[in-house]
Amino acid sequence: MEQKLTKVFQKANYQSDANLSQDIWYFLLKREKRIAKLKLTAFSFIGVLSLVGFIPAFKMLATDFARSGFYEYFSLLFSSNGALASSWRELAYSLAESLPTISIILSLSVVFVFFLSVRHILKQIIKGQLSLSFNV
Amino acid sequence: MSFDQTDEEIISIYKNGDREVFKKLIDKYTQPLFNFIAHLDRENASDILQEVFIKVWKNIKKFDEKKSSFKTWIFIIAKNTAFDFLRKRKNILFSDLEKEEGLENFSESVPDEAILPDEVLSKIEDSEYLNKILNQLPAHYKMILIFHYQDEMTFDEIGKILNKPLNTVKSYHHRAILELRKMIK
Repeated sequence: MEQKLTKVFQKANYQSDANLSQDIWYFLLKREKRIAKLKLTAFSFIGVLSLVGFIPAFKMLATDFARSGFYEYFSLLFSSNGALASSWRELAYSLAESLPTISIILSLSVVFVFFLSVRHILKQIIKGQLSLSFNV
Repeated sequence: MSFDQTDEEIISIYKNGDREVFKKLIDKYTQPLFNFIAHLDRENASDILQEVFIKVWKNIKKFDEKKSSFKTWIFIIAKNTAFDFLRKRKNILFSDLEKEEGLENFSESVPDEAILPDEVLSKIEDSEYLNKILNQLPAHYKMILIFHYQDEMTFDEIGKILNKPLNTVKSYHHRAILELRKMIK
């Protein structure tokens, strides 16, 4: 009975359109391309924004370094070797303390966001290649 | 259409960066999935199928061949997508799947040959008539018959798709055949 039923049931299969699988494939590629475009625009915008934002962040970083006396402490490293040997620990603390932490974090964040957006832009371009290869 | 690569091989190629190979999975599964979905909602079968492949495309990297076969996995997605679609569009409740709990001990003492004798089988050789009858069956009976006889799945595979124990699937199958006979007569 099993075989007979299988035979009878398989005759009653609903047939899909001949082009359905092709249509679905093109639909997926189109969808992929649309999403890739959208992401590309968004990440390009974020990339440009972070690049522009890097200018004030870098200026702030340079100013904060100058104000904090970091350069002065840093120059001591190259001055008297004897003084450096005797009080290297204090100098290291002073150097660390004089670091403008907030400006450094801000600048690094801007750089991080920029590289992240570049990475995503490249990813979207690679994704878009597939749909382009099919002229979708 | 012949498919010289296994699903797992195709997925492995896809995961290694060849996204174009996904087309092979679409070619292979369009017809069986369409047939299954059309039995639930013929009018919207193409749209639902499209939605199924979007989900598969999005989640294929998460597919774990150690947990289930790709065939089982894709049919689970198809079943869930079709049910979601029907719930949204037609407000149909598929609680009938749960209603039948307790059928595990259903008697299977009647031999299959006695359930559907040749004279009954000959009546359903008309495909249109068979589909008409199938459409009157409860969703879970219909699905089991389609999976088992059209997609040639084992009861174990069906159990995984419907998330039911093996004995429950066997009982449902037995019940479905009896129901089919009742309707043909």
